[in-house]
Amino acid sequence: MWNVEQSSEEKGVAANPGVLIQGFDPPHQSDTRTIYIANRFPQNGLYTPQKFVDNRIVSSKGYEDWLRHISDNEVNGAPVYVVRSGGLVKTRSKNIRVGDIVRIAKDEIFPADLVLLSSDRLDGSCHVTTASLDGETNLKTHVAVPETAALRTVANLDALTAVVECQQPEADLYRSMNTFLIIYLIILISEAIISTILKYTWQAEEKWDEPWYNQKTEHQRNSSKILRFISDFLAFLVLYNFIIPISLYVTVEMQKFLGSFFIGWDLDLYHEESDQKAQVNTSDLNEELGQVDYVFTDKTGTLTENEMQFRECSINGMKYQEVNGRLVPEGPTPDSPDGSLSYLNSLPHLNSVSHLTSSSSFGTSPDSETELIKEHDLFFKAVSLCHTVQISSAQPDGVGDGPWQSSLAPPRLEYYASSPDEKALVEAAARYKLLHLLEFDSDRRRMSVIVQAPSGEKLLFAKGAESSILPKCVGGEIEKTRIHVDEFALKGLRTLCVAYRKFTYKEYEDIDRRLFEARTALQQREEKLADVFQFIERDLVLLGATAVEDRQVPLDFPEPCSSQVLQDRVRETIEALRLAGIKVWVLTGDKHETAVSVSLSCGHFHRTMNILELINQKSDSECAEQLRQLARRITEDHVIQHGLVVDGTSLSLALREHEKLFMDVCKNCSAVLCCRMAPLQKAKMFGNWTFGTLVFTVMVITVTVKMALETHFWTWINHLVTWGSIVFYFVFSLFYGGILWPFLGSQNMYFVFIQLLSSGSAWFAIILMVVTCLFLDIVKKVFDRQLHPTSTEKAQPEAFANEQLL
Amino acid sequence: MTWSATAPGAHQPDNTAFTQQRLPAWQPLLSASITLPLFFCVGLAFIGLGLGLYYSSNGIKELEYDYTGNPGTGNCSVCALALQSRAPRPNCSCDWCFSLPEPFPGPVYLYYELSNFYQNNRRYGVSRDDAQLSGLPSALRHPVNECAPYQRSAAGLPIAPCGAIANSLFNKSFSLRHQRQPGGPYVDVPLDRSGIAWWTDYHVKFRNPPLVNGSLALAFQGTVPPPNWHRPVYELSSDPNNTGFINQDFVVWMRTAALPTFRKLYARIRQGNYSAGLPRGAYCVRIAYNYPVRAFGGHKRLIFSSISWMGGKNPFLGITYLVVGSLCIVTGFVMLVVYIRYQDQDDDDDQ
Repeated sequence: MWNVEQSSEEKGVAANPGVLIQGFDPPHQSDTRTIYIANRFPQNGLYTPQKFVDNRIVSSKGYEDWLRHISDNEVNGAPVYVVRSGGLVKTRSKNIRVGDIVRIAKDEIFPADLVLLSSDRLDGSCHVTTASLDGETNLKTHVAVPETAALRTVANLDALTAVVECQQPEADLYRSMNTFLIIYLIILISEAIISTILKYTWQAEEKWDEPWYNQKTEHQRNSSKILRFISDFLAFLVLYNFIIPISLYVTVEMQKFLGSFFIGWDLDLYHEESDQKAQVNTSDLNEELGQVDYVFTDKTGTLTENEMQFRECSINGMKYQEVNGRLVPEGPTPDSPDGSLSYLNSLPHLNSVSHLTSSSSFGTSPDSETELIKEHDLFFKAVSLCHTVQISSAQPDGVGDGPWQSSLAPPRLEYYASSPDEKALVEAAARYKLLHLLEFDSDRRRMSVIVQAPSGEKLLFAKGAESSILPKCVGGEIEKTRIHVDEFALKGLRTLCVAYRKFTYKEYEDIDRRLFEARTALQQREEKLADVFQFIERDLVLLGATAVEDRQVPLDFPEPCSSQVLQDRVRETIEALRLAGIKVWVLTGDKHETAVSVSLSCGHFHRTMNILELINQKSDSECAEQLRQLARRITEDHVIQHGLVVDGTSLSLALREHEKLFMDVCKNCSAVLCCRMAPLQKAKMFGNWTFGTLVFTVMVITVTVKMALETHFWTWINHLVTWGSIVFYFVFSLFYGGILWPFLGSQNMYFVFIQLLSSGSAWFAIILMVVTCLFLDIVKKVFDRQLHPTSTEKAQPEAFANEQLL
Repeated sequence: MTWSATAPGAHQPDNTAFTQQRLPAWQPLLSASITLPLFFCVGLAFIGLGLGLYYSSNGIKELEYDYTGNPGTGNCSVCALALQSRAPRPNCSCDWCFSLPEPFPGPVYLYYELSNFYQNNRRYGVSRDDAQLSGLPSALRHPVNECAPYQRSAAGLPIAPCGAIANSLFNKSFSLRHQRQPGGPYVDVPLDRSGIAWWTDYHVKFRNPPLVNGSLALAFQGTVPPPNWHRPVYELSSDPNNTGFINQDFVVWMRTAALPTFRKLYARIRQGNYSAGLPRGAYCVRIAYNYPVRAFGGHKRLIFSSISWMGGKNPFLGITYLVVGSLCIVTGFVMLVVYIRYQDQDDDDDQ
């Protein structure tokens, strides 16, 4: 399921509007026309605990909700095509019901959670981006079940009867809030139970239960004991319900809501060039913004611009550099007369794809070339063939228009790749027939294609991280390439290794059969596929390595590429985060050296920083020993800032057995870099950690205690509101009661209030109770300040003194 | 995100002190130099206040007599026994005689106190009809259901005033006699029964229903008094300003107490020779004994009390002030010690 966009209007029926719904994001795209079953899960059951509170804060959310509503309306009103009564019917997206079959054309937003039934491709595949959900710009391939993929006409689909079984969506949201609610509920219920029991103990004696002055009615005497007990219990429940600080919650919500205005008003958050101010989509996270201790950032697309550019390559143990759109051998090249590389020189900039398509020398039979050229040729063939880039025509085409046909019209081509690197390395290869695609996955860290060359021979091209390709290689310049790859990595380039394998006819038959079996397996398909892939991708011949630059400013390297830009002001941002005491973790799938050099260049790591490394850990005990060593180093040289580099395997070891130790080390590091991370690990780290709970605990305690006592800065508004509310209370009570008593003779409030205010003892008692209640808080604060002052408080007296001097 | 088509800077936030959060602000610092004097000041102020409250409360004279009539506790026990045994209500009265060697400073207030009487019981507390008591004729005929079982009589007539509170009206009367010289004649001490209720209750909250032909009795026609009452509500007193729902005893009783042991004002002594207090001599209080409390283990007391500027006797408030005040000072000292030691440490750190 990629699409969780459900607007407040749609959800209004099921759960509370607004409160739980994320803001609506820009579109998801699909590249082909695809047909889906709409599948919206009933979500109301899931959120019942929140409802408890949410019902009461709808008002403060109302405004945001209304704003969202406007954009929702646009989306909900968007036209969609739904298969109904034998034909395609145009309707509004809000009218989609569970079980509808929806047709989505290219570049359209998914109006609901959907299951892919079939696409206009024969294999039933389609590509989806989830950029609006998680920021990943990759195209994700989804394949329809073969049974439904065959249904390619509206009539066929209309006749389809199917049951979709799937997981309920999981929501981790508000969990810590619920813990508090549950604790409060337990307190409340036990209070009510105790009170009820006490009541009945007291009533056990006739003289208390029914003294002569307080008789019961017949009805009361005869009512069922159990019913009475329950109603008493409920009465106590109602009496005590104020212990659940609902009003506090409302106040906090209000506070957040107003706070969001200040974020919008902040001149520091105003972007002059585009004339945009900060826009607050949801006020839920305002207070958490101030309590963030750790920032986890992806490298690609976050620190860098996610714009890949081909830089260098190593072919058959030789390095080539890209200079002004030409490949030039680098360093001492013993056997490279310029002439023999002529076609390489004519190779234009590698990511101007349309030229490559027409590159005449490309794809010709290698027989006529020298051995060297043959290697180059193979290398570029591998690079150009082994990818998931999809070409699609931008012209408005009907269902059934094959993308391959339109690819022959180069100027109108659009490319969709599942990885941004690939897009940079694309070369179209229409003459090769793609036989099999062994998709990339994060465990293998490589992908392969099996193609049929025009000459009829079948080849496998594999590319992937050097750690996953090199061990599988049996031929080629492995050692030299390894060195080159390390050099590339040191320059902060993203590296890929490329290898190939030739199949004999028999081998291919075998592979073809195995692949088919695995792909059509009903059970454990993933495992079986993995096994087959493992079987196929072996005995490779290494061709070389490529180096692509993820555009960035390597400020620490006075290298030619320094004219290019990182994302605007990444360095300043990271520095500012560090100054604010926020620890930055960079998670990346890059090679260790690449990651470190990018970190250095974007200011994530300092030259002055003490860089600790936890990499290449093979065993538990080794890892623990290393961790202990690091912890010791941190305590010993405590002056310097620490940075930590962890790689994926070491991280999983550290998290599995020595989580506490690892956390201790991490807490002391102001910058952490996790490289060679599989996406799964990324997710696990966020889930495992209790940061969420921690932050929330801090918030609740802070809000409860500090809202009562702690106003740091008293502007006239604070004075007005604080003292004004007290004054207002008195004035209102008197005024309201005073106005009403002529009309309601039985009005109580006014008289009681008057009597109270005219009594000296009452005032004494009020003062006393206020002082007593505040006493402990003040004492605690003073002691805290005296004994464990925070850095802010340490700074305060000086600032205060300075102010007074002025 | 829509890109603006308007003039550049159109979306620029206002640069005002409010929106940029630069309003002049005062920052309270809970530093030792501020809090220490504060603690000592508050502590001293509270101790002073507590002493004042305590002594003025102690200066209030009280004279108390338990006339519940438990066996062997004086002559009221006869009446108590009589009330328990005989079904027809006896007109029993008992005397409490005492002598004042010193004059009792005025103005003197006469209270009655009941204990173990739960006026705060919910069922009891809601058993009243405020609309009826405010003189609404419709409510007079149709008392609210909360009054049940004191809503209607067995014959179905509405009870006025309805409810358990009214039904249990404290119906005792006291009279005080004074003997100036030993052996001399007893003279009645005038008890001022007016002005014992809250002004607002008496003038606003409680109203008689509109008179019918100038008669309050006719206004109440068609209603019956509460079952425990001997006489209808319009005969509570002969004074037309003190009868019916605005009878002051009744009004005082209807303002229910918060605790099971409570005092209610019965009368003030401030007339004639007694305006400055009760002079020396022997006194006798005649108590018309007809309110049963022993059934629920209650006690009845009669109290003479003077008052001070802050009201009746209440040593608790003064004591609490003293406790909190001393707590402040003790904490202040502790903080002083901590402060001094901490500063030493701080200096060490600096060196």
